Amino acid sequence: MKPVASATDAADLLRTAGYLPTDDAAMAVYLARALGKPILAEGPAGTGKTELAKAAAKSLDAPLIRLQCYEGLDESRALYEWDYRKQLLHLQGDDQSWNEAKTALFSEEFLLARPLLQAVTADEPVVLLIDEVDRIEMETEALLLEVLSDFQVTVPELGTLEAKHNPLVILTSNDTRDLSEALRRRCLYLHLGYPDVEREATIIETKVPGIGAALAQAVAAAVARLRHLDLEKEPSIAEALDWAKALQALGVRELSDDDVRAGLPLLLKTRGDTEVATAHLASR
Amino acid sequence: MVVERLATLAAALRQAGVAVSTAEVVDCAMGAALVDLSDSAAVKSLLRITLLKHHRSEAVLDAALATFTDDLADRVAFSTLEATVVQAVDAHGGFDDGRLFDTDYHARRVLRRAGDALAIAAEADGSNRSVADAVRDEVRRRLVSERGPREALAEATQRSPENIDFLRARADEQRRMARHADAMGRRLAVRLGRSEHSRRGKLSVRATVRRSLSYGGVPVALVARRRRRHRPQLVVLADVSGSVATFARFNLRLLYALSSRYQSVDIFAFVDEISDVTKFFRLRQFDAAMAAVNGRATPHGVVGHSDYGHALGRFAGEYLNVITASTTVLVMGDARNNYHPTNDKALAAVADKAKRVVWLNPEPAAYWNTADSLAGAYGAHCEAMYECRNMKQLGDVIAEL
Repeated sequence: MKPVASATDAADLLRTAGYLPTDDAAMAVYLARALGKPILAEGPAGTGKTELAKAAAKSLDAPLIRLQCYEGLDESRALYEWDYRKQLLHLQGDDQSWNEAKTALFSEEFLLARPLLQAVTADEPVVLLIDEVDRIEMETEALLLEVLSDFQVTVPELGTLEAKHNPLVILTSNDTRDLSEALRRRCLYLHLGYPDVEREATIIETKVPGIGAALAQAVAAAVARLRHLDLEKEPSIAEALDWAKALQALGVRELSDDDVRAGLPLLLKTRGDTEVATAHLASR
Repeated sequence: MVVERLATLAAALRQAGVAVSTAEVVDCAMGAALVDLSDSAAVKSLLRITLLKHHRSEAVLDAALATFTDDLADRVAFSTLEATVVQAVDAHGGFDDGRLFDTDYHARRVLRRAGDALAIAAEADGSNRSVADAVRDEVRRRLVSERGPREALAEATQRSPENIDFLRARADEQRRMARHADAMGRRLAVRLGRSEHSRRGKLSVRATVRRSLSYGGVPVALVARRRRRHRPQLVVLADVSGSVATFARFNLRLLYALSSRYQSVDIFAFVDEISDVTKFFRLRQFDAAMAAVNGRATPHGVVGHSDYGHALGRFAGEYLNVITASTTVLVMGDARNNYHPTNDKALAAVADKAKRVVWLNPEPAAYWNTADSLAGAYGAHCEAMYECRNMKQLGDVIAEL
């Protein structure tokens, strides 16, 4: 993994991977490397939390290991699992004595490493993305704590496996649930909100090459206006990018109110929101 | 030196209710050794990243910082904008008005009286810092130096969206409260959904046998049937007259976020007349829902003054059929009847048919039954009447329904 010398350096590196970091994001990545701490990135959906991890992996030249969280995630999917079938075959396979077999049964050969263990035992430093951590139950969070604070995993039959290299850990949360204090305390905190018009225009220009500064600016401004309305689900950066791509494909050069109206299905996903936006456009 | 100041800052944050652990202060101190402390933006980033741990407490950090950065960096170089801001705040701050610590009030006063001059200075400066922010910062700095940091922190805590009184919320605060209500509704929906999920039902033999097949017929893992949860039907009677309109609006917002928890939600809004506004609610058009009843009010009463007796009577007369034995009826309002007839028989008829009637009252309990408040008379027919003065209390009550 490439070293990070300062927050400015982190910002430059992330930019090479096509990610435009906020000052806080660059500082968080720098401190995470310097202090060996995980980052907890929190904010609404589609504001670039997952992208940050991907860009960090790409720009630091490290493999990305991803753990997607969901309700019901358990040890055997997050940490490790004994390969039951393989153990069974091993027992049936040759006629060794039970004493030999039982020591062999719980060796690394039969251990299926899940993302957290993979990140810890990797031969090179990795970026570990723990995505949407707010989806797991409060009790399951405890599984993560050992990895997050000490970069190690304890397997009762084998002992404690420590990381050879500290991974860069990035957790993301949509804030649909209050995370435990224990988890927050172990992490650096990064809030990623919607960008201001300038930054979003730059993001659009970077991600949709050839769109032109004027149109990118107009798209960003229109999306910002929509976010100002009272909506159930505000359009995300990802949706703004979809819309910008669509406009480019349609050959639009100058954004009119009709273009905005036509783009609403890409930006707003509930009928109520569409009606609010339509009424707003009509009133201008 | 830096460590001492950090400890002071951490103590100030804790006093304002932001949990800051020693480990976090240590992280921050280690970070401070790595960043350029003369760069105030970088220092602020560092503090946000290491100490804050929640976006919601950012206002408190800002207040704490105002008490802190003053001696951290004596502002040396003044830009044109900053100099103009200092002058304008001097001239128009109105700090001897005898107001409580209220940053917004003074900032608005300055902007109203010196907005043009400030806009010109900002133009001349070419800085992209917003004038309003610059004024707010200067006002806060001034207030802190005059009144002390304790009041600044108290203000930040009081002005956090969950503690603002519904009956006194200003327009700018209502915007923040709306976002907070949406987020709170989402979190509540998840939390309540979860607790239902974790209560497992009886053993499912069929699923357990099916699962055992992958272990050669040994039932290694038992599978429980998922317990059917009971989803109540909700009927809401909301007073949307001027005095309690804000309360009703946030209530509807919260219920909207939670509507998947209920078998059905029917909303009736009233001032003196009552009407079914469910179709607006489903589209999340709260303002339209509230306007619908105001616009349709007949000359029967003066528009804008609630008449609980009449509205309840009309509801009991026309809409009683929407209530079944499994309905929870939620009444929202201050029970101030403007000295119209009580007509609590109508509420009794509703309570008779419904499973339960719960009343949410945005007034402090100490004011109930004073003047034209009929909290007692109506409360007698309810399972309970709850005081819901702010988002926090409202969330607690709604979570229990």
